[in-house]
Amino acid sequence: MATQGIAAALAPRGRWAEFLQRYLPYLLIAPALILLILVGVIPFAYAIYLSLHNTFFTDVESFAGIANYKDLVSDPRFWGALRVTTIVTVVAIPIQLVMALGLALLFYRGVFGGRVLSPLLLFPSVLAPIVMAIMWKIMLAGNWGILSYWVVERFSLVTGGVFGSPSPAIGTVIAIDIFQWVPFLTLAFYAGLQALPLAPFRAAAVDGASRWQVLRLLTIPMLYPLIAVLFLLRFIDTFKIFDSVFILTRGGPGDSTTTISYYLFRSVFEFWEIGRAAAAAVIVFVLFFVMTSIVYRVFHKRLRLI
Amino acid sequence: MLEVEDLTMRYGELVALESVTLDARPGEIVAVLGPSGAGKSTLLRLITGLTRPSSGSISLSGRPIQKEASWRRNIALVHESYVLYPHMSVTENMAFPLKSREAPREYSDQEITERISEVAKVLEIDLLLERQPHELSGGQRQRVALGRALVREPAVLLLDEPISHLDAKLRNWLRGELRRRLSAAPWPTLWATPDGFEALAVADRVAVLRAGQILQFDEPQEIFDRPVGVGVAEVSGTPPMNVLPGELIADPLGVKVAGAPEPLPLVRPTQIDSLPAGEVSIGVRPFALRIVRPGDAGSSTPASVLACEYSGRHTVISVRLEHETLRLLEAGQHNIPVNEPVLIAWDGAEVSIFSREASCAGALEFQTTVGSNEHRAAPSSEQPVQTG
Repeated sequence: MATQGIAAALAPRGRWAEFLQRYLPYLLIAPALILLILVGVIPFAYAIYLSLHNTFFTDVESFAGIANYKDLVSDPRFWGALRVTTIVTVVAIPIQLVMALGLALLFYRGVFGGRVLSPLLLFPSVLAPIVMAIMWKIMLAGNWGILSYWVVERFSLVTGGVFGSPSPAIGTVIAIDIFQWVPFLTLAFYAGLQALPLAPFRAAAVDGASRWQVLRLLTIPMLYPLIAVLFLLRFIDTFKIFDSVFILTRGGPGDSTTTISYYLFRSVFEFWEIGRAAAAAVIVFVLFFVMTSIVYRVFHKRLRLI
Repeated sequence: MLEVEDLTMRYGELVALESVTLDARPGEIVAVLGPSGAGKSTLLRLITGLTRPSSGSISLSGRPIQKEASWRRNIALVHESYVLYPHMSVTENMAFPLKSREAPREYSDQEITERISEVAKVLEIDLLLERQPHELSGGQRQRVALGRALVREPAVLLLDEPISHLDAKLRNWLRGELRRRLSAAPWPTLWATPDGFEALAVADRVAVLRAGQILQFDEPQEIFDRPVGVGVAEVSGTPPMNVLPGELIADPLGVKVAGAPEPLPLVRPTQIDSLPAGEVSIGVRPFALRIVRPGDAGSSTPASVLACEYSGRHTVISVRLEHETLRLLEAGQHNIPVNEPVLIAWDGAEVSIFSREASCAGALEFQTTVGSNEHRAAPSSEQPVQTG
């Protein structure tokens, strides 16, 4: 009797209960959905709207069709910015991942006293990117910064300062991105290594595999899901690189370090070409969407990850 | 030739293995028989080198290996929990040891393929070669793990319950097939199992392990016919030997068992003098017990039926005798109602007597067996039920 009573009390009753049962899921996802629409969909829709109009400073004027897009596609600075961004991404991410994995393996083997050092590793990652960039800017300044004086000038690595010519400038931006992100990735790999099951490694030891074979055939393949996620995160993040460029080089010399984010920033806040900047944002979004889908597809379908 | 001498493994206070000594010759299958927790897996792990022993020595063809790294020992191990490489296909899993740096020789790609397909056919996994481990059932995984060991040419092969998770038909087929292959192999095999029947069936010699100690290391027939103690008697045979407490009586020779109105007779004792007088443990094989009708010749004891398990040719009947449960094997099908009173009789030649101290696993100073092979061979007036 008692259990029947409880069951009856718990059973949905009346219209209100029916309504809840049907619409509760929607109610529950509503806050997230509304937030997403407010900060994601509406601004993006507005960006599309802006990109199709002529603008004068902040005033939206007449409908312009695809004129902004035409302008943009014929602007070599836009393509230059895309090229710079791609170089930074393509060079920095693999180096970061390889260095971080190597360091994590050393830590895992107990070299350097991983436990003691791992909190220190977080330093570069918790520093505000702006602070970090300023720090580097001072260290690499002219011919008097601590690094430019003692290293760059002393060994005549680059004449005229690292920010004086295009290649060293891009190289420096990449190097700083690596410096900033390797520690975080090392920690992530270190955690990933600790989470791997031990049994297959024991089996490999009995099967007579060498250390190199274990690394190549077991450790790295078993870390693929983690590598995929970290790659995706870094890819998205690096593609939007802005702060270090803004502080260190202002996109120069010339436009040699102007990344896509910095190009957008200048289009809006220096040239006030809001329509054109919106068009660029839309194009970048589409490009980005396509590339991320490809990456995801490769990981998901081909490697059966994520 | 694998030789294990005086091997001891302690985990702090806990003694997992104590002075284990055994050996296995090339082509010989040595079963390590014991209930779970006996130390079977620990023994195998020590031989692989995944764990270092507290003391003792292990040698392969006279070469001590206990200080060598596991990947240099060329030992094949089939884990009880399979342990396949999760991201590799069945083929890749099986090829892994052949491609590893410490393989005894170089294998060409063609030879690797041949070895894998040959073994895969025997194990009936030849249609699964392209699958990933997560697409396999438990039994299939176990066979892949077995296959990964069988493609190799190891110095010694260690099998940790290799066929325990297979269905009955495949288990029966593989038991014979593995025995055939491994007996012809130029390396020794250690086969750990908790199944007494399996151990007796596959092995050339059986080491009965209990609580970290080897109770008896002998040929299967000796293990079955002359168990050195209750610990051995309880694990060999299907169903295993019944063990019940009793009191030895000298004249006429017999044992007094709680619940039996008169002492049960024993036939022709051989070593009865060495037994301490009085309290003993009595071991009776299920086929040495049978159900008799009232008025049949010989002594009988009343008991009540607990359960009947029919298995085709025989029925295993469990009966209650005072405080003890006995299992006996009767030919044919029997379906006796539960709690039905019956009379049981035993074949006095098929009884083993153990001193009471020996009942505690490991302490086996006093033991003897009454009833030897010749007794069994000679047809007695009381025909025992024959096992199939």
